[in-house]
Amino acid sequence: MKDLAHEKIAFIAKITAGATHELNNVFATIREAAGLISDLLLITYKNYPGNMAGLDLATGLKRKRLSFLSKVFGRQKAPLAPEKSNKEKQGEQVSQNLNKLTMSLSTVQKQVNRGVNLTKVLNRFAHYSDEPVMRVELGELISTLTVLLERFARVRAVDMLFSMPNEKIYLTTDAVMLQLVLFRYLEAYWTHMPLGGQINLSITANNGESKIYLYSESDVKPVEQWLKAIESVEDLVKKDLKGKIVKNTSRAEICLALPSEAIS
Amino acid sequence: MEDFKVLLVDDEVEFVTTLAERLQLRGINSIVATDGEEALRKLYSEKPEIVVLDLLMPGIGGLEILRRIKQERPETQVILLTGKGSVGEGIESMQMGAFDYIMKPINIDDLIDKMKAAAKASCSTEKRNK
Repeated sequence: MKDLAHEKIAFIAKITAGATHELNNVFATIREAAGLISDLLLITYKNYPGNMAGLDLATGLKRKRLSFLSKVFGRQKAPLAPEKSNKEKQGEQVSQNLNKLTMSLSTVQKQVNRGVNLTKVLNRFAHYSDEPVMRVELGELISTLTVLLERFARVRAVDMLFSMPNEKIYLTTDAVMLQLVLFRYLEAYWTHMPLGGQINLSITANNGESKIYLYSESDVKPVEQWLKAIESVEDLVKKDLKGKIVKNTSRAEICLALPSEAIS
Repeated sequence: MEDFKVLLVDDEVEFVTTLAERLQLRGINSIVATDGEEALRKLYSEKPEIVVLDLLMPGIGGLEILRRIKQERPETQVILLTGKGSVGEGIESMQMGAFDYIMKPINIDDLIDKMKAAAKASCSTEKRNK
């Protein structure tokens, strides 16, 4: 039964990993195309005859200011702006278009970077299903999960803050189950927390045991329901992860302790 | 112009041609191949000092091309392009003789730095072999 379940998860993960690989290629191509447009814009700025675009933009601003002054003080008190030549108008238009192009390009590049990061994380997430039990770096696993869950927390106006330790902590575990359990815990927090709260996550390791701490300085309400949600995955923690959970209801804190190499 | 030639190999045609154009703008002589067979043909006809090679391609894959380059033109330095979020393949490729690897989407300045380092290594390998 468990093998069949793993087969299904592995299938979804394989398709997801393949799709993220393709998405990565899409982003790589967009990034290069945007890069080329940016290169060409720079060359255009540099080579525009006498840097006219820039000069005419300044002239345009001066004109706007003069026109504003003439409106405020009346025609006699402010000097009238001289009539623009066609060349000036053209230069001003080119300059404005170049500025708009540069700004749009920066939006494209920013969004590509966002897409790249998300794709990278989703790809890593999919690879956690490669094996039913695998050796994982705990900090990377938690940061992957929190990036993917950011949207869920944002809907509840809750922040998740993960303090990544300086040293890497490895453990051999059912990575999918661990993420599922952590998801349930986080969900229990943001469902029972006030808007604008913060969930803190941290990890430690010693004596062959890795510990994941979650706590919130905001009150969780009602505590009984929060506790019930936390306890709903206790079986999975014990049976599938061979771990144990310690709860501190007064501080809305939980500690999930996992053996580093204990799952068969 | 830089004094080395680069062969860019990737089946993503728009990616690789745009990258080649950007490298040309930066004074790097770049040629393009969009599959393994074309890459091996251009390796002999164009004699590039550096090959930037996508790992996952239909037909002859990146690691196989790398193996053949190292067998037949060992002075050519290879930089692998890897698209996955893992560095495993990159490390494997370096064990097979790749000079370095870089993750896709690339940062063009990082790629150029790696190319310059590879060009130096290619130069010294050639001197050793003479």
